[in-house]
Amino acid sequence: MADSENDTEQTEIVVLPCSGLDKEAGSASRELALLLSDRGARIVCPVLYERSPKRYEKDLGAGRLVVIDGCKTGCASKLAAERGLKTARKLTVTEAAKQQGVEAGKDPRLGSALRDLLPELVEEILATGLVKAEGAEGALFQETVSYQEFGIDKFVFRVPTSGYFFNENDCWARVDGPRARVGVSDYVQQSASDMVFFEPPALGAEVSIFDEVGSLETTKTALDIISPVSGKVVAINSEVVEAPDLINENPYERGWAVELELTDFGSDRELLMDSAEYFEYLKRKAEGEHEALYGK
Amino acid sequence: MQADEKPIEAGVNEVETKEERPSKVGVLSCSGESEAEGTIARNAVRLVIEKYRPGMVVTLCLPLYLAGDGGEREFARKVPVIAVDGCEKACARKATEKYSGEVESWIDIRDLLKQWGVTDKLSRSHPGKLEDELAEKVAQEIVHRINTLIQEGKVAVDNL
Amino acid sequence: MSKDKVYIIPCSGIGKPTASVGRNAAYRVVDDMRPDTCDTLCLGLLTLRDEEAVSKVRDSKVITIEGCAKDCARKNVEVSGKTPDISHRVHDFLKEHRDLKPESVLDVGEGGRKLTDIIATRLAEEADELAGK
Repeated sequence: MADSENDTEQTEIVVLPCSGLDKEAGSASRELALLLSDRGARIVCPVLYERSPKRYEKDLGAGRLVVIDGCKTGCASKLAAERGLKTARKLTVTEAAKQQGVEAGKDPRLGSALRDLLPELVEEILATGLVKAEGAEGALFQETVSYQEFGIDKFVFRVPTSGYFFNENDCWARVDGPRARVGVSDYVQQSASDMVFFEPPALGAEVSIFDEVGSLETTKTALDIISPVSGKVVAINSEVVEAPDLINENPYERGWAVELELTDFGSDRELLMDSAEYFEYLKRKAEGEHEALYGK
Repeated sequence: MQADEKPIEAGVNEVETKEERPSKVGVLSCSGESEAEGTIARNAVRLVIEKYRPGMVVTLCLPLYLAGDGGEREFARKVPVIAVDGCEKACARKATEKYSGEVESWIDIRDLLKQWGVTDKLSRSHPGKLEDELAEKVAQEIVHRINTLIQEGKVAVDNL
Repeated sequence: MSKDKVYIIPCSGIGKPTASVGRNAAYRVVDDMRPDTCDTLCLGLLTLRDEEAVSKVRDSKVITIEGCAKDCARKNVEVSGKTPDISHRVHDFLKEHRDLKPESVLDVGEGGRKLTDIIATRLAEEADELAGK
């Protein structure tokens, strides 16, 4: 049963900053995009996008668009409008700075006054609900997950339609703001059988992408959870420690294993598959294995 | 369709719900701790799930109607249910009717044993060859009921 | 008389090898090790709120043994108005005996059988204590 993806369910953001090289506000626009990228956003280079729009087709379809103009010239907004992109949020640096009593200068180097405002602007963008942020209003990882499925022989495998990133070890990271939860996919729990033990990593452990971040033992086999992201272990799912079969029951939501404070998601993201990519990858993999066992 | 035919192969496809019909059948055994027939019921259901109709059958632990988070009560509303009971108390059938919905088909193991002329004393805790054979026979009966549901169009199955 | 018996009530788990272990352990106690002092009953009867079954658990000492964290046996006993005297999960025993993983639902295998015996021994000892022996 396929659930269709729609905007309201997308938690990813895609940032289109202006490329203003001759003004401080342009530098601020770029820096703001980088700060959002640290929180999981994808960046679209406006110059490359202008030259080669196909390059960002997939990215632009994967999340909600935030456009950042350095100044009222609005180059990024105009580019978005020309390309018919649906913009979820627009911000003009000079206007936002003015509201805080800060004037952007002519020197293109980013000064301290404007630099100091940027974290606040990041939070403002996050607070508009484009990317969930931890806070008094609500906790992370609360959005409803929808799934798509495919069947092969007697098995049906599920993959979330958005918000998850996968490595080729069939482990996932569910990114929400500055954090990610990590677990194993439905494919793993079905292949490996009933989970009987979960050995978590130490709290506070620093983990790099592709490091082992916990191990599982089932009635059939033992396997490591290979982290799709880099970060610090800030939480362990005690429910799964107590009842590892929760992973079999609910591998993508209640069956999360470890929560990490992300340190470099912008770079990690380049090495991961999103939900759509993983779905296709898994189909090919499952078909290949089926063919190897049973022939065509 | 014979009850011991090979299970239907689904192949690689996108799982879709055909019209309004579910693509799975629910088979629910009683918990049957007290009676040997309860053990036979449970083992028969496992045989259907693992061997005769893998991928087509969903089941449920009966006590989850009370102990679960409520989602279990949708069971009989989502799939046609065959209840398999070990004795006249009919816990599987009655609990499903009470908490979830009507069952499509009901198997009373004791009734079957009478029909088959089984008079031996059976063991609940040390099932032997006879208990295993009876579990296989009950499994065949369950498969026959599943096939009937398919023929009646109550279950959507690819490649039928 | 039901009041004299200690009831060992396993969950009805049909989907997990650990549930099979729990069920088999309960049977080992009530049918082999302590047939005079212990008994079991169908959890489904508690789910149905069968009067006779509810009365038995209310009037007796009860030990529950669970195949997973859903704790069906304990919860169905509690709904009947009785808090189990002792509650166990097979997984807790498995943590102490990691080499005795059960293999499958229908056949728990050699490791599963050994685990069953370990659990049954503990249940029998606890039943003795509850029975005042």
